Amino acid sequence: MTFTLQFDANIYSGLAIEKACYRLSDVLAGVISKKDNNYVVDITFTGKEKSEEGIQSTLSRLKNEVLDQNLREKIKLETEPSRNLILAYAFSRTGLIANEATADGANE
Amino acid sequence: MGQLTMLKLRGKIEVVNKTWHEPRLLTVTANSSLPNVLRKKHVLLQDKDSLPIEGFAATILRQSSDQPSELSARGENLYIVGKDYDYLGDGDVVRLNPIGNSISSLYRRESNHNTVLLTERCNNYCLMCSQPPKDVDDSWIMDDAFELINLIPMQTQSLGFSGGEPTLYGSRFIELMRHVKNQLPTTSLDVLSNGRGFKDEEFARALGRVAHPDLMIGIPVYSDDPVRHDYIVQAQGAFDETIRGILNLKRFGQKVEIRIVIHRETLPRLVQTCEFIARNLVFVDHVALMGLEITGFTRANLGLLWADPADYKDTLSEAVSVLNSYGINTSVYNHQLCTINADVLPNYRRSISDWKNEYIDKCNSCSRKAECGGFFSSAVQYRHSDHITPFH
Amino acid sequence: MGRMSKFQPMTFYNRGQSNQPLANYQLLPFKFSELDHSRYVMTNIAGEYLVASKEDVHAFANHNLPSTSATYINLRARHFLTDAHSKMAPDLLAIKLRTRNERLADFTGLHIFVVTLRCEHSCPYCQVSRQSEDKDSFDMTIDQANAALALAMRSPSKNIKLEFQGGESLLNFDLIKHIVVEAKRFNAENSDSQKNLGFVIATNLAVINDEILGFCKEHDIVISTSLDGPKDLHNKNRPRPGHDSYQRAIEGIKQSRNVLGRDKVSALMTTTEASLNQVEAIIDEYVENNFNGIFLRPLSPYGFAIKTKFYRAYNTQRWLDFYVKGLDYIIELNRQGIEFREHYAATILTKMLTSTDPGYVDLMSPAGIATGAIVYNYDGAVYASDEARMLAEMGDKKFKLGHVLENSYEEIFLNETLLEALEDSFAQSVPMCTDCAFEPYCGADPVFHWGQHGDLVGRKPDSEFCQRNMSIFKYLIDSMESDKFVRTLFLRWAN
Repeated sequence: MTFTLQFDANIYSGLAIEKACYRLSDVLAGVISKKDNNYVVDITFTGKEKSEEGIQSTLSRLKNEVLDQNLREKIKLETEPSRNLILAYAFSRTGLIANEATADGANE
Repeated sequence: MGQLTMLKLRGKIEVVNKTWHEPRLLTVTANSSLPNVLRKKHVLLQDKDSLPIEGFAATILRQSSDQPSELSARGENLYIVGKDYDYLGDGDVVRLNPIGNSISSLYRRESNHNTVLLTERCNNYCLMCSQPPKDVDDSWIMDDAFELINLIPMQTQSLGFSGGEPTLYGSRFIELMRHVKNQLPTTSLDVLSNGRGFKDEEFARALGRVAHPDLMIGIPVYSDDPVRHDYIVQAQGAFDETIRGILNLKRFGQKVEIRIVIHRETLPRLVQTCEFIARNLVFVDHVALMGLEITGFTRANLGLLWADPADYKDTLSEAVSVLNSYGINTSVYNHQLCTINADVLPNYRRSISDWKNEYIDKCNSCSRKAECGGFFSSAVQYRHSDHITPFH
Repeated sequence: MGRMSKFQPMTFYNRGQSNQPLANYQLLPFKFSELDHSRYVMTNIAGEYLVASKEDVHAFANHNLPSTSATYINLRARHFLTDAHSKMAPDLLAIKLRTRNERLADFTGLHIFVVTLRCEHSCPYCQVSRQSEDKDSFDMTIDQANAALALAMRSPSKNIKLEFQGGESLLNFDLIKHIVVEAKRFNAENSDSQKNLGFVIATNLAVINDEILGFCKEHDIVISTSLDGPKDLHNKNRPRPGHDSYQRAIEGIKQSRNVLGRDKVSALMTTTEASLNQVEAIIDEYVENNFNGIFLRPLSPYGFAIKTKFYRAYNTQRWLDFYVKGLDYIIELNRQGIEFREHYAATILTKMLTSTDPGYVDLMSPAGIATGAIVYNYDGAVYASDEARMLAEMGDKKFKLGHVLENSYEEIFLNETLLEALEDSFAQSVPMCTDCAFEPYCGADPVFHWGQHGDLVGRKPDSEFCQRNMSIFKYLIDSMESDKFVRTLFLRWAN
């Protein structure tokens, strides 16, 4: 049995959907495609749970997982500068951080 | 015998047979056999009936009922003082002013803490100011201060500077600090200031460069609420300048004490103010919580400011407890033992100065009178707690 | 005479631009989370909190809060806003933030040496396998110890704590002696990078004797032992041949205190199913034995607990009930004049009420794995934390960073998994944590989340770590808001 979910590509990233499908790959198999401005996910249930309730519950889990992964991506990007600053500060006296001069080249 | 009362530190007196006509700073001596070579810098302290001695810059004569005219042949530069000046003693430094016919005690050797007034000008105008500001050029006081330092004995343990606002002198103030460090290298210093001048980083740095080994700046912060602080000191923007001044002073290694006077306008946020200090200024060296002194502007604003310590004892306990919890050195001054809770006792200090303490009649039967700081004379005279109760 | 003696009222100093009381104000960065149905907890960027009604917070965020209101004045004093009357907030917040983060660059301060896996106890909740006494292949070797010590001293931290664990660490006391002496020699020889060395021996005290205590006294070593509660509970939790774990622990504590001093002997309890309805008795046991506090720990879901199906009996809410009851009881004791504190609360309170970092590994972001503490195992393997070691004992070696004899300092601390875990679990970058008002008090625990959810981050709504901590944060704040005695008490605990 296949179910289809659609995700608005303006809001969700493909990567987040992939990650979510992967995390639930023990109970479902997802094939992702893009139609117009939506990501379409065709889902086959592979897990033991085949009841209507169980399937709905798994679908809910998938939706939540997509949301979770999507948020992680956005927030990680937005908070990158302060995160890098604090992590760099934590390692600042270990001698493990490359010199400015020898780190990534100026034009990378 | 009897208790110390409020001292009259300066006033007009009779001056007779003047040969010099400008104010002079002189060290007091009771030793009429002082070596000749030293006499020019000293003023001799004598009872009226003693024989006149030559060679001294002046003579202070303790009053009797004789008329001044009888002194016309007794010698030159005679400064006649009444009982008010009985405290004068050997080693004191006085300013004798033959123009204004006045005497001022600038330094008392018997005192455990002398404070030197540097100016009466101020850029704050605190509701409870005990030294109401005057907008006059009194830089002569600063000139005198430099000279006074030269006369103060090197073994003096501590010395205070106040005003008005001493830092209004700018670089001259820094020079004075350097001068004191040179002349009195082992004397510990405290300077009372509103701290606003130190908002200027360079000024704070300059003081840091003096590198005095034992100097503390005492700065009032009356509330964690900038509006309330500005209101109490009657100067818009004072809070920010004061806090910035404190931060700069600490940056340059200077010891800072925060002072809070407790009255009806500081009480509503006293605990929050201590919490503010604990969260933002935890590095300060000392916090002084002080009872109200009924002098200067306090008397004019008494209706606005007066709070009976017995009524605020729990708030005081809470405030002290906050500061103690954060490990901040805290002292409580100018309170009577019967007006505080027992939990404040470890922080209770008998007094700031030794000459201001008095007691009321009720206190005579109190078993803890010797541990208690008593009252300012101004408190005895004008207003004190309605709940003074002797311990038994 | 100069200025006229005219004093202005407070309203004069509260003028806005048009001489009206409502002044413009700018929001400073803050987060807010629900405390209960009517109140929020707000935290500023330096981690200071303020409790306000939901209406006030909404008004505040919408720039409708009047500048004369008590909440406004508190918000300004606590650096949640700036207005025309003060511009000091950014500088003061910067100082506080810098202070909060200062310890991060000290890096690894706690170095755990698992000197042996051997132990004569067989505690069901134990994180390590039980091994009997005669298996010498479960002792750390001298070479491994030397290599581990060199790694430890490489840490930039001025303060290094070496903690000896096991099994029963004293079963390999010779190695402990060697490491202590070597550490001090190393320190003396490197005068340009001298460390403040602290030593802790974690032991069940069953095999303590005068020789061991003499050495501890000579080298200023402190003892950390296990005391799970009253005799029956303790012995049930901690079986050994002879069924006398409790007696030995109590006697060992007395003996150790006699030689080392009362402040050099501490105890930890482990919470089990059997503990959950006995919190007051457990606390009484600690009070009776003259301890000045207790650490009410959650049951960690590792090791033996899982193997023996122990863990199923445990769930978050039951443990929270246990904790709250225990904390309430301790507060009552203090009300009656008995000075006794709960250490987990005290650690959190330090984060809530001061800018000091208590350096508690489980509540750190960036996570404390490797950056705060590190484990050198009996077989020379290096683990990012004690939890990581337990996970490895269960078969998951994800957080094994290397081997003391095979890998350099660089290889260990720049381990890909470690860096990924630090970056991905960074609380401010994680959904829910990033908005959470309690984030300054909380931490990232990637090892726990990996172990439980198969994910370094975990989904916080499902996370027991999150649920547990949030409940405690709210409980502590609510208690301080509603009871002045508690607030005063907690202020002392925090410092």
